[in-house]
Amino acid sequence: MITLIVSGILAIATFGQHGIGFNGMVTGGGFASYFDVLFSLGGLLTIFAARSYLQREGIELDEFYSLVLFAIGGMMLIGHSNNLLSLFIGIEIMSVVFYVLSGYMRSSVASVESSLKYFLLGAFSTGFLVYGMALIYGATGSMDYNHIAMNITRGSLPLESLLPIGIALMVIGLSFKAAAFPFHQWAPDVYQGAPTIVTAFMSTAGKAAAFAAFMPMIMVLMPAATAKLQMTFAVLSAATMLIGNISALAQTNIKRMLAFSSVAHAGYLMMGLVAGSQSGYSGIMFYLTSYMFMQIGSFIIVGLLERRGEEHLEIADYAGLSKKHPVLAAFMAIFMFSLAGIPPFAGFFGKYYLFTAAIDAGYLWLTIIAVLSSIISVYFYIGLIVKM
Amino acid sequence: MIQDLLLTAPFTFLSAMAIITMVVDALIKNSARITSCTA
Repeated sequence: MITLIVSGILAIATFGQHGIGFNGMVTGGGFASYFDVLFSLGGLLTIFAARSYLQREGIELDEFYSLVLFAIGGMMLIGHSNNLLSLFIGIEIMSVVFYVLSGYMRSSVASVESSLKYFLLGAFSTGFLVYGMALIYGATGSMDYNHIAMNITRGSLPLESLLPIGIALMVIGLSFKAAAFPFHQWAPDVYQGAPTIVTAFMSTAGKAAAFAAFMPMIMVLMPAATAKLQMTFAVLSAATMLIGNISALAQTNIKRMLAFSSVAHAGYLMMGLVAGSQSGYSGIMFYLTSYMFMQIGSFIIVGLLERRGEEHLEIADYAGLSKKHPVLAAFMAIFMFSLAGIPPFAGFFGKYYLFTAAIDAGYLWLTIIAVLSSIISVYFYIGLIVKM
Repeated sequence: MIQDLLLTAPFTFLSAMAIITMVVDALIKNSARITSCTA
């Protein structure tokens, strides 16, 4: 915890130090520092809640804390990356730790299965990502973001035809990490099987890391095919929101319901990428911050109410919670209202920024779909509150 | 080099601490094992 507090303070201290280091491999200040703070915060909340959970499950080993630190290290490298190679190394450090953490409850079949599933599908998606990077390198002649951007703007591309394929493959790889449609199928199974506290960490900090990878990449590659990229992200965003929310409606397990809701939130976040503007990126960062608190908060409460051996996880088990544990029920209600985007909670303002950015970019139809899918989500979020 | 490390100070510090935590943990576990074997 002290490490994370210090690294958060260091991130705030280096906020104004813009620059490029390690021969152009990493960048510092601003955007990267903001994500450093966000990842440190996510790790801090996770470790804060982990001790009692791990002790209850009888799996408290010191490796857990080191693994969380390694994962955050990988995420920070993603946020700082200024080169496709450093981006890849960051993604892999984070992913490998997530594979291990998913299977941390070794005596649980569900946990081991989730780890194996995540590993196999993750390795497959990494193949897409690396192939995309290789094609972008082939098309632009560089791995450095600045050089790629310069070559695209100048129009001096050695093998131009490879660029759209490379971009498409990279979008596929990163969509998997962000659990966006149609690469979201792993999320419910993995989130349900993994230890609750690990799920909290993966579904928030992991998602933030995926968007930290997406944003600079889109900024660099957008000039190559602005309209096509915007339309691709718009379709992905709309489908992700709808599929996530409609699937969450049918769930009876709270971890699975929150997993599908996290898929839907990836759809909302993608609206910022569709906008491709400063307001869109700011919206993503604000939404990720508020999402971090509401999602980790919900999972911490799920973890507190869970009984040894992954029991007491059905939504029906939450009936009468307001009488048994009024404080926990009140906090859960706040998190649910915020996830549903009801004012005056942070989730509402996050959605407001993203929706405004999408409208400004001319994507009114996407905003209408987003509002409709938010209405669908109210049913299961408020349904849980009614149950309590 | 120092400038580069300062630029990525949170990442550098966190990675160093993660490695130190892992190594110290392994050393403690190993020494505990040796102590129990000796006993």
